[in-house]
Amino acid sequence: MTRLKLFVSKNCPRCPSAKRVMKEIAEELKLRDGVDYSILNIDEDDNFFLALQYQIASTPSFVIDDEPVFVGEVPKKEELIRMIKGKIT
Amino acid sequence: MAHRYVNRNIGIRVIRSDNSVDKFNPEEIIVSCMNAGVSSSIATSIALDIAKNVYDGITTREIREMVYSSLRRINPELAERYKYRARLRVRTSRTTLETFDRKHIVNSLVKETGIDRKLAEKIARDVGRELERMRLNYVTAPLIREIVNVKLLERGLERERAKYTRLGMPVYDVKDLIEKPHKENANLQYNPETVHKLMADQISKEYALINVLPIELADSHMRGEIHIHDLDYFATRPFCFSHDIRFFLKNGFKADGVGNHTAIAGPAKRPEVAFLHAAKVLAASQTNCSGGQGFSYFNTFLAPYVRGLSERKINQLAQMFIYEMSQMYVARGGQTVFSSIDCDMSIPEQFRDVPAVLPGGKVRDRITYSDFEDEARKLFNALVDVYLHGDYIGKPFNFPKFEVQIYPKELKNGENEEELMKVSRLAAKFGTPYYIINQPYMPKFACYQCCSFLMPLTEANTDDDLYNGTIRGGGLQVVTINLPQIAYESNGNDDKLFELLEERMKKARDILLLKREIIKRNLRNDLLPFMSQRIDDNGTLYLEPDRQSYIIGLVGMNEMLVAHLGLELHESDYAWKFGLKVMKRMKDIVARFREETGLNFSLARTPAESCAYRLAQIDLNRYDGKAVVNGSGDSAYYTNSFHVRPSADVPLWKRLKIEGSFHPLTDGGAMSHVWLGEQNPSPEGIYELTRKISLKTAIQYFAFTKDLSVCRDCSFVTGGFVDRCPNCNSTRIDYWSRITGYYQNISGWNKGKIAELRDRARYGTQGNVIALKSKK
Repeated sequence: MTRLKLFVSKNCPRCPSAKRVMKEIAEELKLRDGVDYSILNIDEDDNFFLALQYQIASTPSFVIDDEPVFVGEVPKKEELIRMIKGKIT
Repeated sequence: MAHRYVNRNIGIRVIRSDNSVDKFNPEEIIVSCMNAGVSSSIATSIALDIAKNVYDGITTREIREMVYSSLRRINPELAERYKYRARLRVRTSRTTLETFDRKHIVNSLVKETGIDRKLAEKIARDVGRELERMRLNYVTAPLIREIVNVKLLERGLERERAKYTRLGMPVYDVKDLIEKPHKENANLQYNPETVHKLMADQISKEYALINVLPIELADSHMRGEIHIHDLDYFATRPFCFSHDIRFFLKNGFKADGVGNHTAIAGPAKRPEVAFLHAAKVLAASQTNCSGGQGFSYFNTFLAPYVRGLSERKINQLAQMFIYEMSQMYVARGGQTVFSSIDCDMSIPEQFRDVPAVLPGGKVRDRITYSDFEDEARKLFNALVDVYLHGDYIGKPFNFPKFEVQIYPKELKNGENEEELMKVSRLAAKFGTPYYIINQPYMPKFACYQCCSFLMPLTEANTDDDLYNGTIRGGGLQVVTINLPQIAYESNGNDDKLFELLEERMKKARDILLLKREIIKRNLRNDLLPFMSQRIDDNGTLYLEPDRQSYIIGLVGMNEMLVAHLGLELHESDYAWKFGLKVMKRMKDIVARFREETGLNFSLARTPAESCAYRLAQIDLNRYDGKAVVNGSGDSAYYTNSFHVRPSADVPLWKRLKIEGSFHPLTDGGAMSHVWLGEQNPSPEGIYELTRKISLKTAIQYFAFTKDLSVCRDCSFVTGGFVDRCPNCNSTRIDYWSRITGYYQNISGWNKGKIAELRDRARYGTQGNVIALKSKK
């Protein structure tokens, strides 16, 4: 399991921009999909249950090291980077 | 054919055994002879004979003797039968003594069961013979009815028997209820109202099971597959309701809904009257509903009425209302109203621009609720102050339940800190407040009702309701699914488990749909006059059945997992996820019911005060060796809904996280408990824990439960369960705790609940486990 996770869902209006932020950061910080981060769709049961275990029931939501950091909101790129650096490095 | 008889004795009076006077009518002689088996021609000739010899003022007894001696001369056997029949008296339900007459049986059988007259006559003859055989001096109508029932069963007419039977209680039980002072029960005190309520409950419960529910659904309840809540009110009342006080502030108040039996009040002009109307609305609606009655946005809507008043005066109004709700001992057979108030620390967003209802029921477009921010806050503080003070002797108020709306965003921004700190002091002192956390996944607009049911007001109401003061809604009925039993039946097979789950949920759905028909009929018949008040010119009812919640609950998720997987909810990630899978399936099925019916079906955590116990007891008997329960024997119980086993030795945070993961799936409302173990928890600790639960979990509704000991001798109240009063050393102590949704004296709890209370893992505000001190 990756340390950085983004939970998204099919009919979520803000998820595309959250994914965009995630992609931009991945590029900038050289994070690898499936290794350093993953984008998980909660329309699949397993992902949904995992999200619930993190107390997440709305999307988009970011989790770093098993801790939800942004729930149901799209953070600014800088905010997320700050959070990642604070937690991971 | 009987001869036509010409009555030549008009004017001759007969004195009956009860001294009443009647005209002589020889036809009565003919009928009574024929009832004894005498042929019509002989009966007529005897009647004609006697008619010649009667005199004015003759007694019925003399006439009977004359008939008897005439008959004896013709056929001694028939004469004896006549004598017996003439003497046999029936004590009827109309409290009269009447001569036995088969005709009554025939008529009632035809009317009540719909069987054909010929069959009814045969049965009545059988019953007559049965009575004769017993040689009784008098019989009661219920006894005759029972004999008729036996005859119906002998003919295989079971359905007809169910229609014809009487409902009621054994004399022994009634005598017990009236004469044997039973231990005081927290819900029901031993008083005449209670005695009447318990008798009535028995009849209406039996009526629901025998006559209202189809046999397969009634049996499902009896087998413990499901639990139909409040069966005693199934045929009569809807369950809970959340009111909008603005409707009454605008239109005035009729306690009986129509004004025929009670005085009619206009819109309140003065603050005292507004608060008293609020109290009476809840009491009036409780006469129509079986479950909790509450107000949403209580302090917002009453804010205009406290404008210009001193804090002292506002405090007095709050005190008056809370005393009314905790002292009006009049509801459902001598109880207080099961009441609640939802309060906000500041005016909620959706009402800021809504024109306020002002004293006298006036509304001015330019004056909106945002103009009453200060008053709403003052009233909020006054309410908390009253709760903090407790009653005259310092005992906490357990009604109205006090529910505080928390908005995580406001919490993050540090808004209303002072108010929340005061609420934390109240939680630390008495455990009184309930916290409604408006989580991002919840409907924008919802209230909590009764024990812990979430009413999505968005679904039940329109924008018009928001503006007109008719935001309202409630749960029509609750049916709970027994999850462990499904696991026992499916023997570890997942497919079977889900198949049975769906089957049981369909039964619950059918029961809820039946309840809808019942309530519709009752509203049509004006059986629920308070709830069938019209709220507009279109004839919209105050309670619209199609806008209510149809609630399906669950019990024993933890024990189901043990039976199915061999693991408890908190023991493995796999069990936890499987629990979520079951819950998600339930949510999907409920969503499908919603689609299919267009009705607001919802999945909820049920209070399960009695069903967690009843179902465990049934399963222990039915699945001996297989049943997984907490406690043992007659104290065995199931864990409430999806909760972690009460006695599980897990850190508080893990407990809350596991339970929190189920809250978003529970669209009809969920609740989690923090059982406090410290005698005097710090308000600051409570405050921090509240923040943490609100911001770091998905929990939507919770309360801190503090056990309390109240001394019977000096009324001293202390935290925790103590064996001796710290003030006067008395050992006569009452214990109070939260059952599942409200505070109660534990003396009325069932054995399962007492066992659970003892088992509960208690925590400090830092999340540390604290052992229970009392040895009792």
